Amino acid sequence: MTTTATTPFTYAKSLEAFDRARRVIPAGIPGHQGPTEGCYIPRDAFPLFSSRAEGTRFWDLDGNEYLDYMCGYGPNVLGYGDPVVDEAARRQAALEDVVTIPSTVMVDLAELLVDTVASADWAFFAKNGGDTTTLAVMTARAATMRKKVVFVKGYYHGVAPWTQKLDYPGVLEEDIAHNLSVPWNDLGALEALLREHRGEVAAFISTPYMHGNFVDNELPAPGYWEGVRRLCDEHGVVLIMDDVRAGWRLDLAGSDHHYGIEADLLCFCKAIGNGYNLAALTGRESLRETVASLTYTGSYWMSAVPFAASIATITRLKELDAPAMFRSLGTELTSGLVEAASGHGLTLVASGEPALFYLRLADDDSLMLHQRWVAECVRRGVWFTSHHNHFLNAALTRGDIRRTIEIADEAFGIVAAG
Amino acid sequence: MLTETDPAVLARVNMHAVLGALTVLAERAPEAAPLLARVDRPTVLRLRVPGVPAHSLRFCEDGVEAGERGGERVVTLMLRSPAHLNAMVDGDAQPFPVAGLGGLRFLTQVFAPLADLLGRYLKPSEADLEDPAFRGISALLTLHVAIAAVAQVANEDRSGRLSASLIPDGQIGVEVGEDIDLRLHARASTLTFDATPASSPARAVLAFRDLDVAGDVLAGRASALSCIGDGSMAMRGFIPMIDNVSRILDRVGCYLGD
Ligand SMILES: Cc1ncc(COP(=O)(O)O)c(C=O)c1O
Repeated sequence: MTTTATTPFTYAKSLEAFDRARRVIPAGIPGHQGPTEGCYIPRDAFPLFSSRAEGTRFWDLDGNEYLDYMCGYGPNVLGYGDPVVDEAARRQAALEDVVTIPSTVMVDLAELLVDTVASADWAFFAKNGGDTTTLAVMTARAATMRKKVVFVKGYYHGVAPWTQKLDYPGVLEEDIAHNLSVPWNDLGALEALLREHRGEVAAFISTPYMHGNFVDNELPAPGYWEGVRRLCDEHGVVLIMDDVRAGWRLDLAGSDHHYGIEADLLCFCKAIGNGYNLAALTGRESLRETVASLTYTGSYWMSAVPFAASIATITRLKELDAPAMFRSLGTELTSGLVEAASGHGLTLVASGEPALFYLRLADDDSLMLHQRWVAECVRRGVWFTSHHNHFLNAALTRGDIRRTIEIADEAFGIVAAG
Repeated sequence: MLTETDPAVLARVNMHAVLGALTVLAERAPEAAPLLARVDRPTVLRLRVPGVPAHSLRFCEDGVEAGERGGERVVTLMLRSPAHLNAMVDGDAQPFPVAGLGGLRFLTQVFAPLADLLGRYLKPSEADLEDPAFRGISALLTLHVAIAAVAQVANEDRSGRLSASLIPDGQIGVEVGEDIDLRLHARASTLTFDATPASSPARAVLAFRDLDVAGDVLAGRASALSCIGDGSMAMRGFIPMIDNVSRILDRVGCYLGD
């Protein structure tokens, strides 16, 4: 492969802005979009603030351009600033957004979700993924009058106290007293746990496949989801699928549909509005009245602009058959990366669904080699991350993929040279 | 987050991490040598606390080490309970010594002033911290205490054990500047602190730019998040190891904080 050598980026303006941020914001940039949770390793290989985004690219404060494979950690599904979505949002904004009573555009979107998502008989809207996972668990508890929730080890369902652990600050033992867990893909363990706690388990909550951090992502084994469905039915347990991350990228009818079952509750966020702020819980008829009975609402939950943006997003995803496109682009990209790595004597493992591929250089178990490779990619304009699955968007072209593989190849060369 | 601490865990932290730091104090603090010069013959200090495995420290003119070699004078400190040991380490209670005359002299002439000296370095005054040499030793001792305490809390405390259960096997390096590389060894969800020089690469590393940063973070004067943000601290390698060690470090703060 012929590679044009690139000049590593520098980030003076980002650093200056971060100094300002640290004075007025705890940790400067708290959470997953900051240097600590974002695992910026080494810290000086990464910019801290963006200034502009378009399509599959964003630019940092110093003007460096990135091909972005994190897509804002998921929301960017059609391309930043998609003209069709933005136009729909502008039209709605010219009419109204946050008003005393809602717009019927909310009903339009709910109808579209019920038509599109196979297991959905209704939709309830909120703002963040965590709003919907919390709502799902409350619904399951209210419907079953039971306390316990079964998780899959390595889970992430947001940051509400019930999703955290005993060793996390600010979380009480009481918050997590009813949490149980089983390993991924382990029907035997789930069966044993449900037997042991017969009549006590309100819900089983899981992502459609194991897209955890720091580990190769794992797809469901054949028969796994059918088995989970059967066990939940046998034990009267509400099956919650957390599709916040994978939703709209694997199957527009829902990731439960993709893997051949119907969940009782399905949590959506991220890609639902191409960056316009929205989340939705969809569910089966049998849970409609329970959800209606809960006290659960928020100041911005019925804002109209995101509903309009979401309708445009989902309509566009259907027109493009985006899941098929992501599968094909993701496969092309990851096989190109794996091949480029092997050209330098390195073993790159790509796992999970191609639309949300996870990467790991398997040549050392500390991931230090992998972290160096990711850092060399980032400072040359390809935004990968060392610890999290990636995301594709529909603005990505085959030309972008070729350029990505060129830069990745250069980075592999640097890492292989020691 | 557990809001309560366990006196038996604190007793282990005090025995192994706080009093364990006498070994480093003996090596590093200039004031320690004249005190150790008073040791007329190798002396072992045995700490006996109901419900906590006994632990010994061996003192001789050249220094302090954990354990016994055999043939030393033995001084035993009997404590009624873990809480009694903890009160003794805080200077709020007296142990029941079992010792001959020479042993009693060792306690008053050597052990008590060394323990006071350790306290001065671990809880330094503003004035003491102005002296760069003092500050460096103070930070180094704080680091040793904190990392040794991580191992105790990881193995004995309920919250610590949960964090440790998520740490895969391998070595975790705690680096300070170019020269200090302390190791925690993780094996089957158990951590051991190894103060001997590192001989193989760590699987994950938590690095402090210098002893000042380490001292500030470990004493709670600066936040680890801010320091990673400004580059004065860094992490690399298998980050879940670091993430869980820092959760244990937070828990150590519950035991050792004021
Ligand atoms: C699987 C999963 N569930 C829930 C959430 C929480 O979503 P949010 O951050 O929008 O609250 C996330 C976010 O990354 C997620 O990936």
